[in-house]
Amino acid sequence: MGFLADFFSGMGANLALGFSQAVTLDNLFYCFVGVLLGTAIGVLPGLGPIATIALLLPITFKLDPVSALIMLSGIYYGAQYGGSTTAILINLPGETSSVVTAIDGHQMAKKGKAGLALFTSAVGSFFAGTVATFLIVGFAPLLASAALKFSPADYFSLMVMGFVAAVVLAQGSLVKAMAMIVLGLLISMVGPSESGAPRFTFDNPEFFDGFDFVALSMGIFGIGEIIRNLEDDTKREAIKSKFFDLIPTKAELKEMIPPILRGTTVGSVLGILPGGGAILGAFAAYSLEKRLSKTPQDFGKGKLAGVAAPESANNAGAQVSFIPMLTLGIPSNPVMALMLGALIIHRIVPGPTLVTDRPELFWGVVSSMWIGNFMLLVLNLPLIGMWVKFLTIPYRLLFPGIVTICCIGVYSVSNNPFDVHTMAACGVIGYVLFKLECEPAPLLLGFVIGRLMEQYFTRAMQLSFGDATVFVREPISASLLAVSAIALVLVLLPAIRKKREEAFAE
Amino acid sequence: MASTISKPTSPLAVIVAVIGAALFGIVFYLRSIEVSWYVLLPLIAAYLAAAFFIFRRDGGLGGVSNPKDFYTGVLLLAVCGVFAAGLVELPLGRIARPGPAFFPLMLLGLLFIFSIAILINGLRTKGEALTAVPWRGLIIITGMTVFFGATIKGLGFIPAIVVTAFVSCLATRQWNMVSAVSTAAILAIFSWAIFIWGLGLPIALCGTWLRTLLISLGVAGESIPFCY
Repeated sequence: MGFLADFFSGMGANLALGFSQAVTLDNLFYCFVGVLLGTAIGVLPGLGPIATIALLLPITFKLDPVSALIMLSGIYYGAQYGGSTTAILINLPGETSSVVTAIDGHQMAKKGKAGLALFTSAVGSFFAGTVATFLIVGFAPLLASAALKFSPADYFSLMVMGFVAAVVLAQGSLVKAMAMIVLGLLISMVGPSESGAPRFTFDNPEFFDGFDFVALSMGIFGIGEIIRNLEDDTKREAIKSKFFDLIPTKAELKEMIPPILRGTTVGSVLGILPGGGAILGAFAAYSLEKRLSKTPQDFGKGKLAGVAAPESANNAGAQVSFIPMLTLGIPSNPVMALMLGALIIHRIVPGPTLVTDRPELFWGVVSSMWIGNFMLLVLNLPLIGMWVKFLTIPYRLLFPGIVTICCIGVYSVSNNPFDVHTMAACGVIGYVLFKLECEPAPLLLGFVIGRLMEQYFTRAMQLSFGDATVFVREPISASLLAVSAIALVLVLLPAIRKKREEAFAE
Repeated sequence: MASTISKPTSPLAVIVAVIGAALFGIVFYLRSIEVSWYVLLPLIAAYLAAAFFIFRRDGGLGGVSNPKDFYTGVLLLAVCGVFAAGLVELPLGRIARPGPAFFPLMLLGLLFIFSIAILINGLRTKGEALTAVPWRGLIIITGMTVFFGATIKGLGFIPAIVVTAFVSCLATRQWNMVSAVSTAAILAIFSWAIFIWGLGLPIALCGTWLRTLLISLGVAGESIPFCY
């Protein structure tokens, strides 16, 4: 009991510190602007959360780290919510996790229940976000103190496990996803090596610093997306119905509560897994609801539970995936990779010592997550009408703006024209990858982790005097590798492989 | 672009494609050890001529059953070649003290295995054909991004944005003059308001080339507002 009391009082003190950081007028304002901009950009068709965050990243550069992070998490939640709105209203999911929302959400919208779907999504997300915040408060410090005991070999194996999870949970071909990770790792090797000697620069001075992370992600997800969207030169129609039937009836409220609870649980549990995060949670929550329902045949035809569960799971998972990123410094999905990149730009290196060294930062961010979620709820319910107007902007007016803002954004990172050219090249690469059905997200993951992974590898080798068996001799590392190996073998088994393909095909 | 799976794959054409990928790396390597273009260009020309001849005779790569995987494999092989070329000069170190080449070499080995696996997959499994590429959009969007990078210092913020935004509008066939002009104007004002006025980014509104031009034309004196 004493342990529990300590646990909760510690939690309270931490939260108090966090809220004292986040609840300043400045930070509330930045959080508000972040949520507003994130939703505004995220709701635009063809812009998923990754592109939205990449696009808005430069506006946080001038802020101090705490405010910047708070604004970023605001942008993140806004972008997520905006993505769901687009999925529901025009059946154009901006990312994989809102694919599930689109199935029933769009059908609801077609039946004139768009307002109800959006309300459910907002409330479900808020509830899930609240629960996930408490999970972070409870578990992040525990994980961080455990991670302090990690040796370089353990870290290396942890990253391997993250990659395996990302590969297993990615859509499409396994080999291609693995190749993309390795490609990302290799691209991150360009630039100065640890000893300072240039690598893979081919005597080109522009390559001496390596490639800029923002340029890479904006190229692949911003410019590449535009080229991809230009393939389809037809017009998209938004739903034109009344949106003011926002407030649900009592029966509808009753109907949405259990799926929200179940979705939050599923999402939180699966969200901790590296590589999975939001995506897997949304899929799992949806199929769970379908299985539990008395009328499974109604799913896919505009069932309320089919929106409530995946949206809650999605948001819980997305938020819980902050835990490994903040405490271990290992992003579990591309969005977290982007957030990690943003942190590093602000000279914050996430890791187990972040909680103890910079408590104001860590707890500030955690509490601002909740504030961001709350603001989302307050902001979006009244403003749904406005977001819908955003949806009706035709793409031909939209993409010149995206190109321009991408250019300015990337240039502003370090006033270096070469970054803009990197972005152009990555745009073409992103489009080619899309054409060849290679997921670009694992590439980004590899690129962000590459240098860190090399460092841990080198250090592990030096500490063990070149004994490569260190990875299987140390217990933590060995168990992590074993888990990854089992996961890989399971996925490669023909029976499960077939099931996985079915799951993603749904 | 669209390939029909009627003809069987010509093994020779596949080999030519793989050699092409390898040659990409080899050229990179030879350049890095300062072999002159006078030697390299004939080499490339000879390869292209041979490839053209074989592709024409064998109907190209049309018979590849899973083109998406096949081309992924070929492209990744070319990437392997380039990284291998960059790796040659780097010290490998020992396993107890890994040098700068050690970790990349491991990655390269993995990528090579994956590329081969994907390439073979492309020849053995059935897949969809590639769909058409929006060349107009691809060229204009990429071109304008390059243009922005190349002129932001010389022309400055406003002119670079106006041109980039205006020409970008032409990337779709549904464009019209009125909306393109207004998009460019709105974007210029909007970007100025957010990035220069709001965020205070240190980017010159009109760049060095324009400044020099205006001064030499005698239009303006040494200090032009917003030109620095």
